[in-house]
Amino acid sequence: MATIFIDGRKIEFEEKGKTILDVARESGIYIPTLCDHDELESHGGCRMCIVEVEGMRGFPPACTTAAKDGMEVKTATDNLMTLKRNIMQLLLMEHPSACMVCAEQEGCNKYRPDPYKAGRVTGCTTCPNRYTCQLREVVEFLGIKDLDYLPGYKEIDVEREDPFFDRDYNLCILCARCIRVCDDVRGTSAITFVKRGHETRVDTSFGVSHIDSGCWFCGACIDVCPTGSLKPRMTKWTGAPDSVEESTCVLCSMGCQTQFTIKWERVMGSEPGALESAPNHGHMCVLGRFCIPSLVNAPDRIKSPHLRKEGDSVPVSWEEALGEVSRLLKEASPERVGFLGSPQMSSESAYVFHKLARAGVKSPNVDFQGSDFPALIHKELAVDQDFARIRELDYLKEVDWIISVGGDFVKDHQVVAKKVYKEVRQGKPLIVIGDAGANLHRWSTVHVSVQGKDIQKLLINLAEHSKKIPGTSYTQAQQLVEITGKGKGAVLVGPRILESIEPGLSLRALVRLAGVDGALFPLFPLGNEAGVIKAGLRPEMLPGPASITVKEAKALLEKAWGGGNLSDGLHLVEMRQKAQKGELDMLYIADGSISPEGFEKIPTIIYQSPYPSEWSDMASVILPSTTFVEESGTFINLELKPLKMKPIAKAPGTARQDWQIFAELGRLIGTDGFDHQTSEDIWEELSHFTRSIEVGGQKRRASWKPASKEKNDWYPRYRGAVIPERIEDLATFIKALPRRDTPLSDETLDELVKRVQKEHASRAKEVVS
Amino acid sequence: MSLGLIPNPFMTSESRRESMAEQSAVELQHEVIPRLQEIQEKFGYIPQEAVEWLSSQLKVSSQEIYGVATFYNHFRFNPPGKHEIRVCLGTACHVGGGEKILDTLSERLGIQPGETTADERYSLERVACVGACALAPAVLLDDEVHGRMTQRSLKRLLDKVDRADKKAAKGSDE
Repeated sequence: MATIFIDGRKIEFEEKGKTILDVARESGIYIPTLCDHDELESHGGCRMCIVEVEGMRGFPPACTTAAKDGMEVKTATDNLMTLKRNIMQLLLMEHPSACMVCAEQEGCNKYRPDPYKAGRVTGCTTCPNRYTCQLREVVEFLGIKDLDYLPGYKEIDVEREDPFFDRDYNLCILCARCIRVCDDVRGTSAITFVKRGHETRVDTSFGVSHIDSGCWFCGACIDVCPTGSLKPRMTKWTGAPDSVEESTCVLCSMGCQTQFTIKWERVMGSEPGALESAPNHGHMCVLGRFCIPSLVNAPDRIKSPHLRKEGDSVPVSWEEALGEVSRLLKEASPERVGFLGSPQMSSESAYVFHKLARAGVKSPNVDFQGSDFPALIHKELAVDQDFARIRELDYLKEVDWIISVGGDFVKDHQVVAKKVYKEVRQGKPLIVIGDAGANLHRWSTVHVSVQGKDIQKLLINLAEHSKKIPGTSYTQAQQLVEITGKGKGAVLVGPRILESIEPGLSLRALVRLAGVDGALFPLFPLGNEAGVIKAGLRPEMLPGPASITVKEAKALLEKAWGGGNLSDGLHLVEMRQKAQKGELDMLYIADGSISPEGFEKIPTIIYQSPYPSEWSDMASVILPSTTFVEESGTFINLELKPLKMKPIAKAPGTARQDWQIFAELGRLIGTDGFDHQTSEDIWEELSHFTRSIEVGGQKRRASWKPASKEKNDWYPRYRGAVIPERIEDLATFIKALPRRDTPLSDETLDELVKRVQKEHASRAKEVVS
Repeated sequence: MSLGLIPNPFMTSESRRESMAEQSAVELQHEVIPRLQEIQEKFGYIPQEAVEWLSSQLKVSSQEIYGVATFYNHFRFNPPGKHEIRVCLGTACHVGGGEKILDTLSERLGIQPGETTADERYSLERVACVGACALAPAVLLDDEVHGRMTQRSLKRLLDKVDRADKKAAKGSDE
């Protein structure tokens, strides 16, 4: 234990790489800072944290000075405060500061609390960052009431051309937080300081757009900016929220804890949750950061139940609609009814849906789209009961090396990428097999760009530590064997592993390669796939998940449900085939993302979703359900970790939560066991069933088909709503992605000189003529 | 340029792939400035294509390379013109009115310091002391020092260059 005196206070601390600032903060002493951020390394740029240390020359910054035993530190002497005020005033010369020293400030804050919209920010009243400005906090702390220097406006054009957020560098104070988070934390380096001295700006290489500079629009720069320079375009003028709630985002399988700003009972904005909230720890991706408000507040959400009467779909009461649905379900012959759920439902909803099908209607035909990859994972891990290999992402810290197979995860799992980069930055080897974009190309220690069937051979040979590895050079093969030969590994596996001839063998080779203490991270492409699998929403599965062939699991379920059809049924592809032959009478579909192709002949379709889709034109009954911000339930992420969703916004019209609709239908059909009052009741019931997968139970799906063969198959959807079709900025971004994945240049410098000079000469000719 | 023990990534493509694999990210990052110098030597400036090319060679983002390059005055981003004009803004020339000479040039040529005219005849640069303090303010035209510049002598100097160029162009046409 070391001792330090700060402003006369005696403080004891552990002398382990701590700075004076750390120690001061721990004991509640405020030292103003601007460039410092919890997640970033000390920068020492803003000079707001300068202190006096007995026996030390000058005024060292507290953020970069190590705290040592016996130090006597003063943080707020007159001398220091004068210095800080002067530094701040110099800074304010270039920052629109009229409001900060305005005599009317108090009244203005009281009577005009919301910033008003302006093309140019000229002061705090027109600044969208008015509520959360850290610069203003420091100005107020220093008590600056007047400016001694003549202020100037930098006259930089506000950049509005890129998707999602505006950049007004007239407000920038050059703290470098955005650059550091982009470079050091996210590993993207889409921005940098350009030029130096007075001309320094945050910019891209040659001023290209953010789309071309490799930005992923994760929003991390916005979240760390202490000023209003960076603001999401869509939400910047909504003013102060009524409340802020934390819940789970379901747009991919990460399950990010998200901070939603609520106003008028609607979601106005979404930001990453607190730094300490697992699994995402204060980071997000483009979908969660920018797309949620437009998605959940879409004006075309289904607002009331609809029944088709004389060819027209007309709004009706819930009573009438559910009466009709229960009559239809009761009258149907169970073998000729299909149930299709959604991987973006809560686990509870999927479970009640499953129960409604098997116990209520007595039909075994249940499935959901996108199920091949998670089902493969479950099947293959069942071989040796390896489920403990799926660990929390923080386990990446423990492993010795990381291997990624089956797709560029930077694109569709940006938060996973951030966690991987943290390890890569510390020197952990990363092996990338298959596609790699700009980020993975830079991060990878070894990148083998083999595709399809070669992946399998490569993995199997690698697992046997053989140096005969297809698609690699001698040095690469040697490196691969050397890296994977020792310690424990982490495997990131994406759905494109389904493209190898026998994905099961590839996956098992990976598990073997990682070692007994290794980890497996299956990067499920769609939301709650793990949760829906837990609810057993597959024809050959039961809740738990369990295989239908496991007698004990079947007996347990029969006892709990009091019977029901627990045999094997039709999966999605088979349902489509039957429908084409006219052998399916009814389809209850809760996911508009499934293609209706082949289902046209089904006489009765019940469509349940928050969003209209092609299915709404075919449906006899439409039931409006809620989105993930309006429902309670559990989301199971790719770490197989249950995360809670909370109803934080009001659903439009009379939309109800999925599980409420299913439970009500169960009651109307007259089946026992549908009297759940809350989603917790259902979770409790579902928790009784445990995992018991048997390999034999899944024989029928010996061949696995890739989800999509297209190269750029990342086209996010949410229950029938195609997100890029609704959000133009997202479409612009996704469209630009293939352009950015340029392969490694094989040109030599001389070849480059020739090419560029030729291009240049032809351009110059054009100018002259 | 001496490369020491680090394999040169500028060798033929097959052997480069091999040797690239042996270099760590940090080693590659240390190569940024020497490579930029080499590029400037070959092109006379740093073109955007070369930054992108270097980024894929060294596994460093284009932004980082551009950030480093713009930090140093040594690197330029526009092709040098046929005539390179450098205006000295060292202490003596600054006091002697170098700033005004630069403004006049900038106005006449229609470019900012660091840029090249569209017809690529002139490029303009500001430099620190050229060692001709006694002749302040000084202007370097194609590495030839012209001292004690005034608005008038500047005009005369440029007119002379224009005339000579025109005559040369006519000569080559005939």
